[in-house]
Amino acid sequence: MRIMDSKQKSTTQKQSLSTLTTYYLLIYNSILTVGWTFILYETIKQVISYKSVDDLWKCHGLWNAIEIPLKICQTAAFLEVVHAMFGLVRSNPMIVFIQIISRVFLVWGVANYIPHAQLSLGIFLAVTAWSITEIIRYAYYALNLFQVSPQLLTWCRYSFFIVLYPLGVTGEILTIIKAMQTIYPEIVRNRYSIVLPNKFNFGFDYFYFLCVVLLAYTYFPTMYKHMFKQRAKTLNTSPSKKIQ
Amino acid sequence: MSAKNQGNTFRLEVLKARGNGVLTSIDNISPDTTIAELKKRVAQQKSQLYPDRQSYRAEPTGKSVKDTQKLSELNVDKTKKIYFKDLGPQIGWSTVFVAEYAGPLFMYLLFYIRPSFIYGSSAGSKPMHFAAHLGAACWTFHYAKRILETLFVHRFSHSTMPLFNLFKNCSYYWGFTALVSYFVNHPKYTPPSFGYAQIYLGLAIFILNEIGNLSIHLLLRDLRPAGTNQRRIPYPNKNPLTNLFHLVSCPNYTYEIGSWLGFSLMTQTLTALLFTFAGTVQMTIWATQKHRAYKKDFPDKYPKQRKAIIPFLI
Repeated sequence: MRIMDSKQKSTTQKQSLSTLTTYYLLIYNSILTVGWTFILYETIKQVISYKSVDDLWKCHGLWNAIEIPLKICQTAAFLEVVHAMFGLVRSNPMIVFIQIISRVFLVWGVANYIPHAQLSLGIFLAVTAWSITEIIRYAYYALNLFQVSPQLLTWCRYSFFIVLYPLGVTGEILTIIKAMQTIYPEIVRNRYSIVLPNKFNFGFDYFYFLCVVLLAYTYFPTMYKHMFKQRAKTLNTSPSKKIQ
Repeated sequence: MSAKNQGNTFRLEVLKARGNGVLTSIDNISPDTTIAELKKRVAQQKSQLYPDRQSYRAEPTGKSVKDTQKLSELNVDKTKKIYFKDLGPQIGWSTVFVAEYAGPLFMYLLFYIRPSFIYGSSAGSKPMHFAAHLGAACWTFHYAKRILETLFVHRFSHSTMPLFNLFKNCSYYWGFTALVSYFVNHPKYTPPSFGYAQIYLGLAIFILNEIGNLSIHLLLRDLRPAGTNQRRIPYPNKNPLTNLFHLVSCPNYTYEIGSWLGFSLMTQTLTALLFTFAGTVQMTIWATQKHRAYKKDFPDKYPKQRKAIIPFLI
């Protein structure tokens, strides 16, 4: 789940953005808003077609329906690191990178790499949480480029996380656990790992690697609290106090 | 320089260098008081700030002053103010080298005996290749040498270091020791592709660079006479391995990189190469800082053809 930028763009700073940058970012943010809307639409379409609990638990066909747009939208987010590096947006590139890497890893390093993990309720939960968050976020950014900042949208952006962030994390963890269950047996494990002996004397056990990744989620409570603080800071400032 | 004052004591305000505020005040302090004595007096008033933790400057920003200097030499007897910085919890050097160097030494040997809780119960009885034996010997030699150098060769400008550094350094050393030793000592270890030629070449490179590194350490020790703070430009001495000073400012680091390249070649183990790379990055940062300091201290006399760490390159 994406952490919100604590810095609101001030009007004077926006004026210094060249027109070219503004239109580029407008196109970028618009495409991604549409992309994530499509992903959400396909996700809901799949899920309401399920007839049994088992269908939902395994999320049959969900990954196939959303795979391509999901890979495109999620990987394209790396451009935001570039935007931050070149000052097109006011964010710390390192923070943006860390936020993106966990999602991209789930898409490519878990679901894509270990196909059985695609058959998990976790995918549904994670993608739903991601898509709603991203639709709001990209729409917010797009409008912000023209100094339009509807209060409702801002409220949504800084409030939906309360449900969506834990939902997304749950989904991600479920997916990783499904992947770990799949590759636990040695015959399967070896297909996904680098095994000894080899001439560089290097081994990499993907199961244990996923264990370490799971440990990283212990950071969730801290992040969650941080987002509440950001929410309090943003939503409790009255419009007259905002820097114009 | 003020003349020696007997009765000219004053009240010294000890201010915090960072932020504002007074740490404490010392009454009846004489201008002849040294920084070392000041530290003791402050420690009497603030018991958790033992002397090694205290650092002083005459200005809020600037270099910290030496223990041997007197307040009068710094004009503090006129300003009646001095600026304090808390260096954080400190740790003595004996603790440091035991943790940082003896740790990796024993941990590698722990993997070397192939305990069953790491490698499974049948591992201990499997044969071990000569290259793996050499790996253990070289690793042990390297860290034993470091411990001995810490005890008998190096001269440190500070008697302690911040505690946080210890945690950070230990994670680095112990982590990489596990990563390297796990694979070199593994029952499924594969010997180098070019056989004994490669093993002996790697070993020779390792030994040569270890001796080189030691040579530089001995030279640097003799460069600064004991008890002085004199800084001098290092030049090669009679030992031919010190000729590397013609090309780089920090040949000790250059030799260290060479040692680990030799080790990596000898064992043909990827994690050893990763360890070499990580060390190279860190040492390059240190070397470029040191190089810049040399050029700043000796703007005219410092040899122009010298690079920081890699001859002709960086």
